[in-house]
Amino acid sequence: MRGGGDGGRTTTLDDLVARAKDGSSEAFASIYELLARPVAGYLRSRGVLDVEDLTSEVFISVFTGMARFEGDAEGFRSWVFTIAHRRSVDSWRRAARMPATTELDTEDGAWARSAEDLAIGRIGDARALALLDTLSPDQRDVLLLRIVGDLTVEQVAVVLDKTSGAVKALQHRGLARLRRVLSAEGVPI
Amino acid sequence: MSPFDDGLDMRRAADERLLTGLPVEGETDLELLVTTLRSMGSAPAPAPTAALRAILSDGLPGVRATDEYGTPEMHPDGPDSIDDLAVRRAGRGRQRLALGARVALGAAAAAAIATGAAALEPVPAAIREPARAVIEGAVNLLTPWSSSAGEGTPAIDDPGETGAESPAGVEKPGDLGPDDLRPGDLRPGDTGQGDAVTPPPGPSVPGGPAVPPVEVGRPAEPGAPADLGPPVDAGPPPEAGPPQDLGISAPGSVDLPTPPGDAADRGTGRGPYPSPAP
Repeated sequence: MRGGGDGGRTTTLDDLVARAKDGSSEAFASIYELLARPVAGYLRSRGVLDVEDLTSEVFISVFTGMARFEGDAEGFRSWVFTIAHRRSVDSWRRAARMPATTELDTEDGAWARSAEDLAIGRIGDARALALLDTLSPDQRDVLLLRIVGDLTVEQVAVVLDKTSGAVKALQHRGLARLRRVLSAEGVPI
Repeated sequence: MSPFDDGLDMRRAADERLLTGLPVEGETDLELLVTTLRSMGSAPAPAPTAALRAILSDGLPGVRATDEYGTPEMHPDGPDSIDDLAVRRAGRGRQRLALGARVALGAAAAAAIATGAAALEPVPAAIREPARAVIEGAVNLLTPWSSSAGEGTPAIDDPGETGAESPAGVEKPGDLGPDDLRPGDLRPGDTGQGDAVTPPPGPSVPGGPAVPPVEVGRPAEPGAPADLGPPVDAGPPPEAGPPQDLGISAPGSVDLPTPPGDAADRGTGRGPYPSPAP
């Protein structure tokens, strides 16, 4: 797995992990640049409200716990998403204890267009997440980790503490369920 | 391998292609769904928070990049070491002890002030009497045995009557005993009840210390009734004889008038300070 560039020299994730374990801030920055997007996307797809803060919390946990990590790049990626998965669960638990909040509407015309564009852009996301809600939690987690997190079956098995066979079965049943829902509704995403 | 297994493998292979973003024939809707989900994972990364930004720029607060020997160094402004935490805990313990000492010192000062107010004669009675009551209550509370043992003991209503606080008029038990009286000095009726100058039972009283309820400024002079001696500060020296203005007859007089009032009344004629011992 390739990491960020370093003066023209390509750095693998293994090298970044090794340097990050020594406390290299440059390695931290490269790891964040490499994994922040899929982690934030995974948190967003799981319906986390404060994605920015939770993403930072995940990486703070990762960097402060680097000394305890042992493994290669694949294991590191699984480890990062394990932390993200558990953080999202904690976030949902906290959100369940908090009162619901509603964002203020803006009447400014300058913002109206971008908000409209944003709404149009999020229709697809919302529709996709609504389809995922038709799945069981395990099926949804497997598909999100595989698609958004770009993890392998083995890595997903590590994150969810399941066997690879169970992960394969879950993703197969989940996709089959989505096919049935999509064919029944006939509504494009 | 059965045809069923072949079909299963093909479906799993198609699933794998779908999940990795590769096109699959006849799976347009699923391809679109996967593409949408993948776009969520490729969206711009959120801006790091201040805490994470500090780590990304400066490294971990407690650990610096390894030194030349590969050993992580403690950051100078990082978390406190265990020794620092121990010192802080010890400091907090000392602060708690200092607070306790201040409370104890304040309580001791208050007790000393109350005792002084109760014991010093110059203190106005309005202050002295409540202070005495407080001290007596505290003494009785702390020494409950004294109340039971003192049932046969004359009550000491006025600490001043004990003479204990009058250096010149210290009356030890037995000083004014019946032996100090000479026959004929006083008529039996003149030393009757109600007269504060009556010689106290003194040591003859069982069950308690002999505290004479007399308030005499000085020990009895020879030839004079010990209990009728004038207050030290109220009359001339013994050589000059008993002052006549006090209405006390000369020693040996048979028509000794009864001293006016009781001891408390005569006590008002005394000065605020006890006279020094001769």
